[in-house]
Amino acid sequence: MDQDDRHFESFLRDFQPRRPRALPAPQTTASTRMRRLAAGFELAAVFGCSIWFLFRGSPPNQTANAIPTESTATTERTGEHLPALVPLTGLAIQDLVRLDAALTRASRSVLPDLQRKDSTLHLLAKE
Amino acid sequence: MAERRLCADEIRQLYDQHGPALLAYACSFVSDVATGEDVLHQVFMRLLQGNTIVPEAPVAYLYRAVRNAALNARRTVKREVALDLDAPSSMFESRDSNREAALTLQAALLELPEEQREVVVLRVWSGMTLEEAASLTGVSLSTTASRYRYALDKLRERLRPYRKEGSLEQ
Repeated sequence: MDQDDRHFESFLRDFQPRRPRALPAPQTTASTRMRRLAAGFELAAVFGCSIWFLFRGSPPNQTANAIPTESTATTERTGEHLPALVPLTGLAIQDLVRLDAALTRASRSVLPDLQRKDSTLHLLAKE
Repeated sequence: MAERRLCADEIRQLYDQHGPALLAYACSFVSDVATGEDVLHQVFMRLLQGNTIVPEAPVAYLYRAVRNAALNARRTVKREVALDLDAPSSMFESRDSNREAALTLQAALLELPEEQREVVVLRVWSGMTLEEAASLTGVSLSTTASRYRYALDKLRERLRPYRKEGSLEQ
């Protein structure tokens, strides 16, 4: 490479190659979008179920004071007023004494009462 | 040799830094700037998708990837339409004062045999040494050097009027 070659190279370098257009933002594919949508639904379902479990059984504070009847015992067994699982799980972890008390309270409305005179089991036991 | 995945910022930085020279390199195979840009985007988008592992020093890899992608694109284009060697020039940025010279340079480059055009682009606009260009193109150093010499002679002849005017040599 002689001097003239170097001058000519420098002359050529004065021509700047044009800048390419900007890179496009990476596109999300249809499968990625579907995966995200499915994950969103899954999260919503888990959240919804948790909320449902949380509030489903909490009102029966009144059940502790209510006089249980045969009919309520029947409906309880169908699961209408079963104690909520999430709070009970929390109690099981934190405080066993309170869990025991909560289960005893719940058992009054969920399990059949053997001591009432008009209860079916009491009558059957007599026979 | 150590290899790794590049993060998006590194990839975009490489694109900003080497994009013009890589585009010129792609254009030395496809001769159509739009196709050259497509080739470049194809290579960089593949990197952005994160599926490609590159060497620790990725620039040489980029040139090889652009070369392969450009050759593939040219095969496809050739099947679809005949290559348009008279396509309007936009390979170089040009001001009013040197637009004609830029057009002449583009035309002169297109007239060169591809292997000569390739080594000129690598040496002049990518700033590679002849050894690096030889390594990238897979030919001997002496062959690369003679290709470069022939190419410079032809370009010098074509661009003589513009050099005499000295419009670009300020």
